[in-house]
Amino acid sequence: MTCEHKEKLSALLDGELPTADLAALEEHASSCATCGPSLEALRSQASDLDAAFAPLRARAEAVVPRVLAALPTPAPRPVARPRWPFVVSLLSAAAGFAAAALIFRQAPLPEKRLAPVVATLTAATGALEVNDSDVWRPLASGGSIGEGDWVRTVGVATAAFECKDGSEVRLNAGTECQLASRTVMLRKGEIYTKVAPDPARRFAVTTVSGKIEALGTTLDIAHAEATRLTVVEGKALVGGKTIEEGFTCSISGGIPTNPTRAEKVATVLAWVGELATIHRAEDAEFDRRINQILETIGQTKAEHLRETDIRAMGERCALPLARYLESPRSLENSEARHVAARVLADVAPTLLLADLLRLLEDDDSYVRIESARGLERITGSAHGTTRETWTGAGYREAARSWRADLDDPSSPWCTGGAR
Amino acid sequence: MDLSDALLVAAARAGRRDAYDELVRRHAASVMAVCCARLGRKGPLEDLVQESFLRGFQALATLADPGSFGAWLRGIATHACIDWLRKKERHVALEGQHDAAAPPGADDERSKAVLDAVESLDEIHREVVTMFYFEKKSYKEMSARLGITPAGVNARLQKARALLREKLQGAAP
Repeated sequence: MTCEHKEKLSALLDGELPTADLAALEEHASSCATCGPSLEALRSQASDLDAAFAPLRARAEAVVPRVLAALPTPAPRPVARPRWPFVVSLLSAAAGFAAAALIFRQAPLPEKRLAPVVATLTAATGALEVNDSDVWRPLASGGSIGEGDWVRTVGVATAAFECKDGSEVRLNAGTECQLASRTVMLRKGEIYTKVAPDPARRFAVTTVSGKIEALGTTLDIAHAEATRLTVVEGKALVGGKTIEEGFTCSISGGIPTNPTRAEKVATVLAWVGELATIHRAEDAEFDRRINQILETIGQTKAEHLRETDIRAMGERCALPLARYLESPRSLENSEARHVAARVLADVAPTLLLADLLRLLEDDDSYVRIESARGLERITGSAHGTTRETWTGAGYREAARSWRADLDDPSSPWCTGGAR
Repeated sequence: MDLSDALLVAAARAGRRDAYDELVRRHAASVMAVCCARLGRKGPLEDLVQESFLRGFQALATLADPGSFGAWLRGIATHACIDWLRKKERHVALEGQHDAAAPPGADDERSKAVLDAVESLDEIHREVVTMFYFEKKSYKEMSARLGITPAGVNARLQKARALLREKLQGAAP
């Protein structure tokens, strides 16, 4: 048996019917052999569901104080911007790289400080906690770490510490470690260290997998189930073996695997860049990091994409391509360099004039010719040069002359010596 | 007067921690509902609700549309659940550890059977049941969140109820 009103019963029960319809339908249900029992069944089911979800609703209410207690104070506010906003937008567009620069300036908390201070928090992209007496508590910006204190990053936060000896230790998200004088014990996560030289005492990083001694070095060390060491600069000593700059190895039982050349160091260190953009990063390091990332992007484009696909990105691919062309790594693939130079000549914006001028002195005549073509496109003048200028012996002189003219204060292209 | 989510987000970004607290109170149930729909009631719901709000707090400056804070946070909660499930696959199973059971009694068995049936529904039906009976959302609110008409919400709920009836009748001794 069916009834035309039956379809409306669930809306009635859910309180979703217009008031005018409500009374009429209820009256109908009270006398309808189909709708009456159906409505009762629906009511019973709704009652069961309400009762079943009641404990979960109670859990949802009870969780609020817990969440509020766990949140850092005060709320986050952006305080720093990348120095090169255009670079970041290019990176974001070209590689999905986001340099979100947030920093928490937490209210100073009373500090229990008995142990001598070994490090100070200099930058963070989120909340940090320190444990100096079996209790984790928030660490304020500028807060200090005592000898043997544990520190951990919360959520996706990263942080940088300056040690008393001048070394720098950066913590990636999900990192927990103990800081002491010239020693870091990494329990989990990833750290990046720039070690200040001290002939009297080596800087050591220990994990359950082994001990790494820095020999005046920048290291990246990640530890999850095993430990991975990447030597960014200098050398490191592990289990009696020296790991050279640019090499990476895993460590287990105190013994390193055979080191292999670290591929894509810039990618490994992508997390370090975010910190570099917000605080205390020396200009040279920031520039080096940006250039490494741009080179990698440029290399990916030039070596792995079709020329038409690169061109389709337009101006956004210009900076990575320029950095790639100026990097030693590109010298191994002249075909890709030619593609990069050709596209760059067509899409480079005005802000890359300095890069094009430098490329006029490239060792490869094809790159010189294309760079001159790019300069001519932007400035509207070939500056009296021809294709032969760039294949002949006098190209350096021609390049210097072109640069001097563009740098002349009367030139509309003069940037006041910025290049 | 109730402030809009957009105003609260703006205030929280300006350093007003109490504004974010209000957002937590306002959205805790819907975040827990998302986690519950993903992981079932035996999942570590409280941990994931906390993690979601913490992630939201840290990423608040990146929220493009402050008016859509709720949807944004539910997205964060979904990701937090996925991360947890991945981690769980890799590590030790934690079955039962977070089972916050209701108080014992005759009704508990019934509620347990009802929730087991809800958790065995496919995702779209589990979602509407959770939104309606857990979050107590209206058809209009559900229709806005799900991107379907109120009539579509009604139809989906009716189907979910019919499926639940079948499952519970099948499970009855």
